[in-house]
Amino acid sequence: MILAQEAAMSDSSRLVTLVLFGLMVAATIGITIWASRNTRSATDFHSGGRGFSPLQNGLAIGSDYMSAASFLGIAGMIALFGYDGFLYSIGFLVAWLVALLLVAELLRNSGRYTMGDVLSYRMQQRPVRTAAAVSTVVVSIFYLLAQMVGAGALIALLLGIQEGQTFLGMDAPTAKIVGIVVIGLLMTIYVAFGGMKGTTWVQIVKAVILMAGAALLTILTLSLYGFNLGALMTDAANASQAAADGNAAGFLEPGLRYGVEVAGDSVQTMWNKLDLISLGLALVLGTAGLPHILIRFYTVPDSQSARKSVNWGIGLIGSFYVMTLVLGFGAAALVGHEAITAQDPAGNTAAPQLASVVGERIGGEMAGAILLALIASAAFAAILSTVAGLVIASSSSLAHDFYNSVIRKGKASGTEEVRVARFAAIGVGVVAIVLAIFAQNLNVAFLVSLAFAMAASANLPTLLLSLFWKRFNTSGALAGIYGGLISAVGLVFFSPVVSGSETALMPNVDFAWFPLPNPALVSVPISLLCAVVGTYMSKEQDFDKFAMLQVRALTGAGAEKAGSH
Amino acid sequence: MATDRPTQDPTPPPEHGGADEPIKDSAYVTMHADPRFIDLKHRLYRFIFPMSIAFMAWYLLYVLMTAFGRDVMGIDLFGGVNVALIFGILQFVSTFGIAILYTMYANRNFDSRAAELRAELQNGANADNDQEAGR
Repeated sequence: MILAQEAAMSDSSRLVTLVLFGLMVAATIGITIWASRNTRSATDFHSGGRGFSPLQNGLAIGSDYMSAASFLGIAGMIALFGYDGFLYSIGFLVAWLVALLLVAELLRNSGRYTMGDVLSYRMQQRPVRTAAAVSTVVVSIFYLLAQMVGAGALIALLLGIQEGQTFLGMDAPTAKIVGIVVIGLLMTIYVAFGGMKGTTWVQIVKAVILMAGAALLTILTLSLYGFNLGALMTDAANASQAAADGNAAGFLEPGLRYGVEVAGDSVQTMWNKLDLISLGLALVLGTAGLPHILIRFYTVPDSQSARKSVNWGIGLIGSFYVMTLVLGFGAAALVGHEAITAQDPAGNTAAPQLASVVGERIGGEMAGAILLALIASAAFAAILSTVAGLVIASSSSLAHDFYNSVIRKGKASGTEEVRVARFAAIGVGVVAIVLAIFAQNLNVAFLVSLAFAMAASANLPTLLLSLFWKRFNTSGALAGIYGGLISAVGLVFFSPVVSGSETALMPNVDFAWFPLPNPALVSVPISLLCAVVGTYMSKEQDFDKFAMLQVRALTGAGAEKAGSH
Repeated sequence: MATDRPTQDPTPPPEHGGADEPIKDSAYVTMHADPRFIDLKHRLYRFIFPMSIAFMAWYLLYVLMTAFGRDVMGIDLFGGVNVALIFGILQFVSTFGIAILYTMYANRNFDSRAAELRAELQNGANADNDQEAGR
């Protein structure tokens, strides 16, 4: 086993990995060039022509969602903390029911390109569109930062460049920055040239590669245990850190990572448990408020296809999370806690390390190198496609909600809107690269959970009230969006994540008075309250517009049609 | 996909593609009060709201159990498989189940009725336009 770790990134494996990375980049650029030739109208750019099939969109939905953070992050968290990593998967999956039952079809029928289309339908266009664009860009940028910061570190790790080592003349910190810049440039190219069509095809390809890679590794891992999941879990628990601490059973139970019980400090224990609930709430309510997820529903011809594509997405994402469970336990059992934390304290390389060990056990050193390269490439593909989805969500909203509706008062032509969207993509790309380089030391999981909390607070309540509450109006929508956004960000700012603890961003100062690192438990009710109070503060009410929105949303009359089939 | 698109930029009409005429605002408002639309709305709401409350309650029960019910969650059911794992897997199963139930419900009770009202609105708009054109 020790031998396996030392050989984890042999030169041959690095070479195979690099070649596969190169192939992947070449293939995705090829897709982008093809898509750019077929992207002319605003509908092509923002919504990929609305001609994707439910299965294609389902794969792309899975792709948006199965980011490197969830593939490597959840597998790593399960490998290190056991059951608590699984908690994330469950929240992430159940969240799709909110999208399926309450949002996907109604949004597809009543909107055009962005979340702002539906939010602003009954309201005064300019202020609500501005708020929608602000919230879309802020949520997407935080999510984007999480992915890119993770990506930089991952590329360094996937190429096997550890602290103190060099590769092609790069040491680990340089390799991280190079990784961020390369990812940033690629995602900008995909979106600026390929639009939604290019982005969606990149995501379809990635979903197939990632599912295939994860399935292969899952089957091989299980084969080492004679397909006995119980034996694998027992082995994982016995090899875990928890076992070393004399609590092997604890590895298979909740409580090692979230809702930790602090002996002798019942107050802190209570805060930890409330934080677990707050996280659970953000995970389940955040998904249906993530702008890059919402705009996926516009890429299919009608609301029935939107429903079917969510069903495909649920199937894919669900089976993927079951596989990460096997991979996480497999890494705990076969790679071991020490070897994983030696490469990355957060456990992000647990899955690639598992690939190396499993390949080696089954087919010798070469098989280990090849399997490692395959899984590293699948992770690389996962990074690329998720960031592209986030860039297109931001640039569409900037061009459609902000430029066209606010600055040009809806008079911009489709060509003009597409041109602005391409420039917006470049702008978002540059901003994200710069921010990611400065944010390199932020915790990836923190950025992801913050993005989910913001989406759950700022977007989902306002979206649901727009669709279902007759009395809702402009001031209510504005109060809901800004109230949710500000309370989510503000509460995190005054939480132990930012100051007042050893692991905080600013460990030397203490202005933390909000005890929970995850704000959703408080910020979602605040947003709802703001929306309701804001609504009653204003006399504005337009029941005719509500009637129009509802008839359109439910019947699909007047819904945007596919460009062509 | 759309490889054979015409090169022209189809910016207008802003609201509706294809040959269909835009539906008048007043037609939507009239439809909103139509008993058939009210029935359609009830058919949808009757499923989505109770089901949303049910799955949220079921999920929150799970989250609360992971926080406060750890004695129960830790009970070993068989061969290293404890309540926590089964509860988690059941969340997966219920998610798949609700998605399937909803799809069956919508196929049977919702889609054809929505299509009927949609066609009626669209035909009305096209007929209005023909009348104006013939005048």
